[in-house]
Amino acid sequence: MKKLLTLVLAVLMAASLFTGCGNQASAPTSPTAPSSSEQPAGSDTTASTETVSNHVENLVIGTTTTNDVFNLYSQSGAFGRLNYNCVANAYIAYIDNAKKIQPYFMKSYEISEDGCELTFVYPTDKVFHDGTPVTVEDIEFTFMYYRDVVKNSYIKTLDTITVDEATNTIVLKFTRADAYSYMANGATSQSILPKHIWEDVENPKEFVDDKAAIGCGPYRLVSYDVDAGISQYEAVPENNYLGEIMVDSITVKCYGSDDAMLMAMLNGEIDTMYNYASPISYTLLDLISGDANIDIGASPYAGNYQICFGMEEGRFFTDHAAREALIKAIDWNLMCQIINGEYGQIPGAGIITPSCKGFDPSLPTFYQDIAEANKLLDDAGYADVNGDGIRENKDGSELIVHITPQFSAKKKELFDRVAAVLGDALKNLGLESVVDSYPSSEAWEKEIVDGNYDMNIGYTTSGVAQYRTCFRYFVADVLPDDVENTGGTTWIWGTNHDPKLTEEAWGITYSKNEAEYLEHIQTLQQMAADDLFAFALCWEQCFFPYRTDKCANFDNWSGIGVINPETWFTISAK
Amino acid sequence: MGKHLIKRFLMALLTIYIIITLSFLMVRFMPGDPLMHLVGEEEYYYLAEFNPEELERLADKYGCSGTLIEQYQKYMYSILHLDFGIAYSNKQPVLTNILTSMKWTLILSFPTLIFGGIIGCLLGVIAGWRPGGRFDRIATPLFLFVNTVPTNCIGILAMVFFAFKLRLFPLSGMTSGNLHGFAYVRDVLWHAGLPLMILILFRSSGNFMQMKSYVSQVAGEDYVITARAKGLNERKVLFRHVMKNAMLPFVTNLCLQLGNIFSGSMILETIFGWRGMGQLFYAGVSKRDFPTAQACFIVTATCVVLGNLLGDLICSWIDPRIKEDLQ
Repeated sequence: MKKLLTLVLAVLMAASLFTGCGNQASAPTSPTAPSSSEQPAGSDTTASTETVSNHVENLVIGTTTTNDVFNLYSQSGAFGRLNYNCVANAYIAYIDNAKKIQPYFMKSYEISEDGCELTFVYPTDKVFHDGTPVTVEDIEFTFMYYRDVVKNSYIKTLDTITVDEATNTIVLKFTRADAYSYMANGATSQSILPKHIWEDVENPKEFVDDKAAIGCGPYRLVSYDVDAGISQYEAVPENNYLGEIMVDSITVKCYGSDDAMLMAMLNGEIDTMYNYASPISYTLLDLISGDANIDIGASPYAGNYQICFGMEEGRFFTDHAAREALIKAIDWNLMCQIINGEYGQIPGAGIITPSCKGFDPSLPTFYQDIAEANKLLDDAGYADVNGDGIRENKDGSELIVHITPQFSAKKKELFDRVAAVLGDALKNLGLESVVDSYPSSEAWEKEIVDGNYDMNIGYTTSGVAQYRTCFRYFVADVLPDDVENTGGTTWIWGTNHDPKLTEEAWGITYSKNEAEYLEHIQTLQQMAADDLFAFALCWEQCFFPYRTDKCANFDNWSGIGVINPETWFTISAK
Repeated sequence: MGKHLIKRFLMALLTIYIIITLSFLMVRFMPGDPLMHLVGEEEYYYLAEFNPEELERLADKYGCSGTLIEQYQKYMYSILHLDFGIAYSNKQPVLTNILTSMKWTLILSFPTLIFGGIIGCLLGVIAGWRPGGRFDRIATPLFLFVNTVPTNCIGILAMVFFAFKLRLFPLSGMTSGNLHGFAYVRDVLWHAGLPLMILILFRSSGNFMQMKSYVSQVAGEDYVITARAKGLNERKVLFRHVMKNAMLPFVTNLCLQLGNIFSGSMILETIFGWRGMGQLFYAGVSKRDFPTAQACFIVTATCVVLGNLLGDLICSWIDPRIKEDLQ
């Protein structure tokens, strides 16, 4: 018995050791504070008392993305993702909250009328994080590196580069009218690379040297601890692309889940969050909505869930009446509720969301009218021939509608619930349905590419929605003259062979200017409203929460949140 | 005895060989090009369109070129040289990632094995020795409850209460960063505290139920009645006769648990942001990082097989009945 008591006491002592550590954490000198002399004095966001201006001394950003890859070229990991907002890198241009392409590294840009020539005015006072100045050779090298080594599709047709050092201009000449396309896609995701580091790198994604993180962005990577999931950045005053840098340093902290990250925000451990296109779910809002110092950071989401109809010959939904009947049979309130809770908005017929560039608000909004939907099918000749309460095909053969949810390990339950609501809608029409669930994305994609579906429940991320849009998922073909497939033949999951749809959807990629781009977008929305080849299931609000008690002037960008390329130059300490 | 050992060892080797072969076939027989699973879907399509030469290079690198037999030979060669490829999540050698994750997993799994074994065993003996007694009536429903509640549920509840509300532990992660020496060790212990307590609780509850069952069974055996009839006191009966026999299946069970020591707890590691083997495996599968997932599968399955082998060997060593049979 004595031994047993001794053992219990030993366990209790071990437990008290952990508790002691806990007390240490709640003390003013948080264990998260960096101890290195290279780093800022504290990890908490505080106003700098030594400077006249109200700089943010240290902004702490939470993320659930792993923080273990530090490569300027890579877009994976917290470093790569955060660089979408120009932290360690400096993109040639960026897209602002009004969806306009604005120069970032470059001072200005101009596209020639024929869309083949792009003229930049480049800066001469910027530096890389190893102290070397950014030269025009670095700029030239970057363009050629992306064309020849990376083989980036948006710069593939770059022919010549001309530099005029007297006026600090650089002219890119393309063999086809790709200048606008490059600005919208390539320039907004390509940063200037230091030639002295990257010139011998043949596989940029596999470049894991510490030098891989050296860019010419407004922040220099000071330290990182992979085990802790923490990285630390400090401002480089020379690289003040959009004005004075207002945030002196940034700390990025990685959390195991959204729940843990939000609890850390409630505790004041982090100031805001960033997860690229992954906002927190509306189901987690209850956790933070009661805190007066936290803004849930709601904004319209650019992406959406959507239905793409299988248009292979003989499929049920090749009939317009069938498509229209389904849309009228859906319980739209329930659909929006399950996708986005009370924040979901019943979508309009043009598919793309209100926050997308070129959105057409004049198109009709969907509604439920089961009687009208049934009449559409009656008039189209889909009758219950054998009297079993289920409609048959026009020729009297058995009719079973296949609902195919996209495979998603994380969102499986949601896709299944959406499929159930669609199944109920079909039931309201007297139609039998079956849900084809696949165990992996490979198995799902195989069926989709083969066209073995009647209706596919898909998803467009905000990243795709903001420029290329969801329309690319509905086409089955590339343009007839696109022998090089420069638009990309990946993710062609549609079965719609309508040449007009093909022309308009790929026209987005090949637009010579913004007016042309908007024209394609307008046409596609109208086509979607008329033809109903696909439709959105809900227009969502997304949530990127942030604390309001430490920093002022946060600008919550639609679908992106308060961490965006302008944040570092606009926020201030309270 | 020697013949038995060699037989068991060869069986273990055969099992490991089958596991490695299955791992090879799994990727090859999935829908689509196996290279797509090895380099990632997005990268595969991009390279197929814009850089087919690079795709060919990768096919060669990952042993996806040539006939299935040739691919199998290259694959076996790589595995035997512990070359599991490069993880496309962080571009590091998969083996490096696995060794790092194993280290962190051991911090949780080793104390869990030891403390969970001791606590479960001791409490199980007490409950099993006096079934229906006061301790048994309190401990059994309690451990049964713990045993049946899902780990993720307890994990999140513990995180909310101990880390968020009471702030006794950190919310997530393994260390605060930029610490050295004793401060670092103390910090890691602080981070490990909550997941470790939950793991020990779960392991103790499982071991408790088993030990209680073993002791209850043995307590009714004829030789225990004989021991009592000889006039031995209860303590001697328990420690000399009951526990000695009840320990045999318990030790076998512990050896099986030892086989899982490098597997990690996928759910708890994910909840607490603990970058161990469980999280590495989970991330490998969910992010389609096939080289990582494949290597994790091979390593954890091999450890389980070796744990089984160890269990067999220990049992045949400590159990006189098996020893006699073999001789």
